[in-house]
Amino acid sequence: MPRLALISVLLFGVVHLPKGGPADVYAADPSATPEAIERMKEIWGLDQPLHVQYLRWVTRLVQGDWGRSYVERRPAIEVVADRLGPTLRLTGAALLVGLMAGVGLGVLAGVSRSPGVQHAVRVIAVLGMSVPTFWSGAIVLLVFSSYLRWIPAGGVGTIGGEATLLDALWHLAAPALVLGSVYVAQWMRYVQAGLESVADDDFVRTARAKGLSRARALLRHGLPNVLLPLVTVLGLELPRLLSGAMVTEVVFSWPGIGRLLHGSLVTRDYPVVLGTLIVAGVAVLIVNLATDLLYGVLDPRVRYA
Amino acid sequence: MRWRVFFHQPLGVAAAVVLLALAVAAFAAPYLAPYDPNAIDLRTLQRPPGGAHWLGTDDLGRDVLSRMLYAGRISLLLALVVTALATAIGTTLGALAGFFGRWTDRLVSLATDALLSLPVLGLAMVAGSVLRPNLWTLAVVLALVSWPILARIARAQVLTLRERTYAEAARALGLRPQRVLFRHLLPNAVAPLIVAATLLGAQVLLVESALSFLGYGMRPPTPSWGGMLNEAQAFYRQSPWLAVFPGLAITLTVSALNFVGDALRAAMGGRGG
Repeated sequence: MPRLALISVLLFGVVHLPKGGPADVYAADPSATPEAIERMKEIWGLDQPLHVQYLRWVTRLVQGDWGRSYVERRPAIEVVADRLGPTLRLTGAALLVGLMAGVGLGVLAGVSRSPGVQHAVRVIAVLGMSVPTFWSGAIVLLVFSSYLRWIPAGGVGTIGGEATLLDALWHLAAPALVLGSVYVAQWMRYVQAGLESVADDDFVRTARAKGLSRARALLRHGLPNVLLPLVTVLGLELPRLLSGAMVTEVVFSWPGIGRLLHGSLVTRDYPVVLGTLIVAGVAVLIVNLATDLLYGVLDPRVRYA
Repeated sequence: MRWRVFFHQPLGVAAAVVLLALAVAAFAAPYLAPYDPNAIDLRTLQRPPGGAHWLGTDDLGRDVLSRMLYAGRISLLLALVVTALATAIGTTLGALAGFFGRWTDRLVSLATDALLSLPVLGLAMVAGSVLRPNLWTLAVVLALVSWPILARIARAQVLTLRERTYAEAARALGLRPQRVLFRHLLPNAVAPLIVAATLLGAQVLLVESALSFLGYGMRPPTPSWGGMLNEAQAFYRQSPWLAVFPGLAITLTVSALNFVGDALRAAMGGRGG
């Protein structure tokens, strides 16, 4: 709760404290007379001191009134809600890509004892988290869309076309792969390090004493223990995933929260700007809470801790 | 920190050399750059790499190599300043929180958790959009959103070091708490902080270039690697080299920082970071 309060103060401050905030947007219009500006400020409540504005904003926020979008002339909460689906789809798919490839490669590296493989995994891991997604995304688009014409140039579906599942997946593939590739490296490394650390644990040794091969002992007995903490890591990584999604959405013209934020900043549509950030903050809090609870279900040991 | 271990890692050493070379190139940009980075030449629009322009020219006929060198100055300077600022803020706040506990800890942890649960890029985008930043405001904005990771690590370090016998001895001698913290505890926490700062530098560079790519970073015509990718967006198809080189520069620098951080972590004995 206090965290939520601080987040709200922070967001409000970032938008309202500096010059060029909502109040100055109207003033910048040369056709606006001083009286009209004053009247607009009164209507939007911008003539009040900041703490009054903040309290009013927070009260309404909690009641579900996030203000009206200056541009779309409808409640900001609706504008944001419309974009939630695409972002969830993109981040979900990227997470899936990252997890599957990352855990797969991590297991490969963790079970293998060849220094060459382990070295290669380390290099790939570092390179993977060093490539900016807005660049790799642009290159992917350039090669596979502009030149080869294998994938669409962006968007969630063919415009005017039938909304089939296949079409949606076809549009989703490239951005999800680009965004997910960043996480492949991380999970891979995490799983490899985890497998190495449990390799000497008693329960893996017992399994080997029973006559299991090293690989089998690690996979059957070691891996579940390594994957468990992944649930928490997943929750903690979410803000970064959202940051990544914001750029990826812009590159691939994906109509999600990130592109909405970008567009709203350009048009200075502050209720929507705040709305997107609030949604992001709340999503992270919910996921963190959910992972904590889930962890208790998955690992009985923490329930008594 | 065992430096012998660091120097026995070819990748880490190579990455350090690359970083050094990049830093020198950026520092010496005015002497190395063959052209004025902002000189518009309408006779040489979008020339492919080769000939008089090694890396080609952009849509305004500006020399890409010269712009890249000057952009490196901005990007590296920003990464350095932001990392230094964020490390200073994060270490101080984290150390105070870990050492004094109680309400100091609660306050710092609250701020850390709040900032860590927001997408950094989103916050920086908003700040960049309302502030129209120059180099220094941009650095402050980025530092203000990136210190929490350092604070977490400093806090955790101080929390464990505080229980060591030498800390107890220092307290038993009647030293003032500030002295115990800054003279006895923090120096022992330096190694993991250096690793974290190196990796943070890589993150900062990525966020900064994403910010510039989206148009919230340095204002044109000041070149930055992300900004160059932004300006070239409409010409990727006709002039792919405009898309390739700045991205390569970012990837090279970020991965060099990450490799150095990796090697430093190994030199520390795999702890922390």
